[in-house]
Amino acid sequence: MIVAEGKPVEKILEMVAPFKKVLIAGCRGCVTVCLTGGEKEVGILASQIRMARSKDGNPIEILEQTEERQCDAEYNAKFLENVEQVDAIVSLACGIGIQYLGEKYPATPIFPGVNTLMLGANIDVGKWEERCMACGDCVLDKTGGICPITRCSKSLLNGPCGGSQYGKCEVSTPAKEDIPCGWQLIYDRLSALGQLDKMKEIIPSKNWLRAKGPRTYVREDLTLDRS
Amino acid sequence: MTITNIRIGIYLCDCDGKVSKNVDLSKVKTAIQSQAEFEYIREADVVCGTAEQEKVAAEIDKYSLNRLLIVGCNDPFITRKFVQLAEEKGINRYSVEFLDLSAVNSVEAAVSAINSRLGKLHLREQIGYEELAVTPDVLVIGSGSEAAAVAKAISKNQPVVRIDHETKKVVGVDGFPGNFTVRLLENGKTSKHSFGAIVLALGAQPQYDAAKYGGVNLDERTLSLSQFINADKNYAGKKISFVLGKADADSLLSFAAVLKSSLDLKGKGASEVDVIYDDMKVCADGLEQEYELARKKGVNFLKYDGEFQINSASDGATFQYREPFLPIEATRVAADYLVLAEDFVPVAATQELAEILDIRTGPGGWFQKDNVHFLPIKSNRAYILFVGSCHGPIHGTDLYNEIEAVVAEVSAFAKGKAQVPSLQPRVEAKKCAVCLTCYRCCPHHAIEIVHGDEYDNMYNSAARMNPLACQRCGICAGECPGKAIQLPLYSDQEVLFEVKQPAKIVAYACENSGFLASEFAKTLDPQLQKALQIVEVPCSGKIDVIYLLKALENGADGVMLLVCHKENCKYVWGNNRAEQRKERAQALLNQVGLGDRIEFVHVAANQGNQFNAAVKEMAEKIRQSGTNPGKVVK
Amino acid sequence: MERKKVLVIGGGAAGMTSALDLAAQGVEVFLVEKEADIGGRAAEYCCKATDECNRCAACLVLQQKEKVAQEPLIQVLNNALIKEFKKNGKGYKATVAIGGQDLALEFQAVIVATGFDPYDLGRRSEFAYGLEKNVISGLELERALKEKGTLTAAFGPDVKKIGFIQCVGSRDLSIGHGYCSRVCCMYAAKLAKLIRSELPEVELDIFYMDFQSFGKGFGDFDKELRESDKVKFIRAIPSKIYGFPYDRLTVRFSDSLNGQQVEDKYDLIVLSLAITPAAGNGDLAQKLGINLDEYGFLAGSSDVESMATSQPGIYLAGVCQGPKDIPQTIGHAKAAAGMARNYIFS
Repeated sequence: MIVAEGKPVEKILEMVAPFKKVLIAGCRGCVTVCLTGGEKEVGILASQIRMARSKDGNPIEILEQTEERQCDAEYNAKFLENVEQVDAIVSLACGIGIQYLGEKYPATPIFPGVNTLMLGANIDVGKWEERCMACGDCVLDKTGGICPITRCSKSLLNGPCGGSQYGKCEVSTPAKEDIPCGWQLIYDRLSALGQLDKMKEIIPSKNWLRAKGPRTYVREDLTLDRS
Repeated sequence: MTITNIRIGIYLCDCDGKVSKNVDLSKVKTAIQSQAEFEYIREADVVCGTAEQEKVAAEIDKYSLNRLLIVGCNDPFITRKFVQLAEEKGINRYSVEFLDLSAVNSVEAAVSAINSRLGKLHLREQIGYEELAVTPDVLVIGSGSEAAAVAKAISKNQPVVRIDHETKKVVGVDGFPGNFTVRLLENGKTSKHSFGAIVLALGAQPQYDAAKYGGVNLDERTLSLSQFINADKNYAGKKISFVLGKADADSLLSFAAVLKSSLDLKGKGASEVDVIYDDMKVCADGLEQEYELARKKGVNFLKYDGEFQINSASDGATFQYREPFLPIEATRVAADYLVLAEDFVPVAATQELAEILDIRTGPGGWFQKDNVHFLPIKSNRAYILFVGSCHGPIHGTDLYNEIEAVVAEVSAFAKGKAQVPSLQPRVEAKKCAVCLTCYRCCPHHAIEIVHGDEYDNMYNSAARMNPLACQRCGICAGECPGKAIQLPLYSDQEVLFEVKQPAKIVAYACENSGFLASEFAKTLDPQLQKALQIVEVPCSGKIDVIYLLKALENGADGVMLLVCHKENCKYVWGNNRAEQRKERAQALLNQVGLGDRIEFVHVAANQGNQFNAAVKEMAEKIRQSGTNPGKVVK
Repeated sequence: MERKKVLVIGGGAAGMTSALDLAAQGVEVFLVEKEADIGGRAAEYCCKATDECNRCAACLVLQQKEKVAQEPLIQVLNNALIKEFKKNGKGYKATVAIGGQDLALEFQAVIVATGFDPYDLGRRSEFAYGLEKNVISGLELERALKEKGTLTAAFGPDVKKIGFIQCVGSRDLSIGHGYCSRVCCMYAAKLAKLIRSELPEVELDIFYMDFQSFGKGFGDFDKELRESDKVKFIRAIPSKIYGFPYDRLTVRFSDSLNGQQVEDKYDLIVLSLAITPAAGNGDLAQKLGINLDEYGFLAGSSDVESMATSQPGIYLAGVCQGPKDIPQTIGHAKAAAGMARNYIFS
């Protein structure tokens, strides 16, 4: 799932400063699941902005709408009636949704209400961890199912660096939780699987071009000729 | 969710002249008629009179009324009578509202109160009753005498299966009360069984701690209490001295066992029996009497204070101590056998079962949170119950009482069916992202994810609250990021309707604490609550961040959350969730410079003074922060 | 089908618990209360929470009271007394006197939940109870703290030393009370803790015989009480309290360390009065045909069986059967309700 965090409201207030009527658009996909951009957060942000603007003597009208996914044009079509009424849109979808909704309504300025952070797993309520960087060239088969690109701070492919100490990564700081060394995790898993010999296998340097954008992906077997 | 075909009947009762003293009811009626939506309205002198009741019954039929608003007094006697009448007519208690006008002084105030109540009645989800098929069979887990006793007692009413969790182990539990599916492992094979309820009766484990006896190790002559009891030897002609008080300080178990053993020894011809103790623990039925009996039978009771010394030899053991009531330095007791009390600790399987069953443990690792709402036998999950020493050492009549409480609880399923009002939250599948937040936040393990074509979203799935497991706290509704969950009687619409035109201070109050405290507080200082609006919620865990913001957006100057004391939430962690939400809401206000406007107060039902003090503090906070500049003028 | 009916005698914690449990099963309940309002003694107790709940459970009783008021299947009869009581087939019937009026009721089972009376010191004047205004009972302290909010609001700013005296009327064979009241040590300790959280400097002493502690986590509670809360435990029951000629209360007791008589000055003395059988127990037991135990509590049908009585369909709930704390009372009353339900539906 895509994990996002709410943008500081002062940034959003700056973005919408020139406008009198704004739509806050939520998404029922990943950002609802990661508790950042669903109907609940749309309501909270709307209320907060209304109050902030009232306080500044510059009232704003805010419409609220949340639809299935902002990364699909068909769902974005549902925003039409509201978009027509407003001066600008704040989207609480991920970066994809924000852009895609913007493309649907090119005449209306659109602003991000969230920072899109990562592809992560939901560890528990309110806790997420990155598990994939979408490098386009998966090596999980060689690393016991643990991604060195994401879990190693340096994205090393062939074992840890000298900064691996007691299973932790030297990047760990007292301020944040200890980061486990990705290669320690891989070693432990492979050892549990009885596949430690895989550690000896040299993973050739990656084709990072596959991780570089702008990327497109087309499946000829699925593309539809509508003519 | 839309509710169709609501037909409300309004009765404006004068309560024998009490209401019209202050308010002209015919004017109220005219005002309501001109603006509100309803099916039928009329005035009455005493609507609770027998003749009136018959008339109301006829009107319910004539106008096909399905909801009632009785305006007048709020006497429990009247409400009871009316609900009975309504229920006979097929309108259940959740569709009848009462409004007390006895303290209202103007037509405007009366109309506004009636409109507010009518609005809520319109927004209310229809609540019916569900009759559910349940399995009467009860699973009792435990190998000791407590488990045997509870299994025997339950078997008077319904089938019981008892397992020891050793040869036959619980490895998984799915489902809900009435229909738990338990996976059992025996001889390497697992099998599935259905149970309506689960009773944990694991007992407690005695554990000798040498450190409590100056490092003395157990040997031939110095025994632990459990060694002594299990050995069951013939001690005729011997002298036995029991030492109590150093271990097992939290229970009466050792005391009861020693008293019983002492009497036993006396009966079987022991030459002398001493009980050396510091505090005689007799606070259970029959213990004081047994203590008296033991004294009569010649058991020596010796009180010690502070330090002591134990010496064990091959032919006996000695206990040297200071007797608090004698002016001598040391007293020495020599015995053939010295028997030392032990601590009791939870049996090894406790933590494992707590995880499998998703039930909480408390201090000392015993089952059950140390929260008065769960005492004596309840867990955080409905129909998973504790009995006996597995949730803290217990014995005698107290054990019997617990067993009978368990029998009473599980016998609700004895007939194979259970009827419950469908008050559990509703999930609007279209808005459900199946994110599992509700599932994870539910303290009662009452939520499942269900699948099917009828669930109108991209996953064809939705969360569902089980009516027998759900305890209607509304924590899930407060957590849902998609606003898909609505708790009947307290939907977002209903709650936010109340704060559309809020008072200066809006206080969201848990019905178990803040609301009751406010009622008490009113009697202490009636003036103080004039600028205060109480919005009752079933648990503070239902108070959503948006509730706090909306009250302010709509014009309140301050918002309060009145919640139960720490470790006293009936729903485990509702009050903690409320505190976290308060923090977030205050941060949101700070970000936009709206100041300190939220007050979070732990208060209990009997703390009217503390309630009033908190209201004063809130008023002071507002005085300092000034009028809410964030109010949105519409 | 006509609903089954149960008579519950006593509207305190036990009676309300039984009534609510029965109503939840669709049984109609007559809840007969001799006072003007339900709630019982526990409804007058104060909250003993400090920075967290201290598990006194008094709040549960007020929650129940609210639920009873909202429960249409429970008919509360205040100021009511059982006047006559008779067998009626498998069930019973009774005449209940409410004010000047008699009400005839028929029902299939009975739950007796008449609670207790605090020990009446009567003519015993050694503690100057009733003579000195600052010698009060535990219940009076609870009530004062509930009504006034703080100890200072209730007793003024000059209280510097408070003594709790345990076992007043409990475990006292000289008056035939060969039992422990079970709850006093814990409530005295919790009240002491509550007062400490309000008044960091006040001296707090507890006079006791044997400290009756129980419950999960009590070890920690006890340690905190002695160490950080600085509550002093004195193993002695005072022999005499007198006010005159001083302006403080003088408490005379014998020091267990040296056997010497000691006198010390206090500003407030709280007596933990024993739980004793309710005054009307004898009369009620006779009407219902059930037994009393040796102390005058209502008796279960055997030594351990504490809910069923010698009469079919009549059950005991709560402290009327013997001393219990609030959670134990609630558990007991739930069990009694279950038995009554099984009886009327069998």
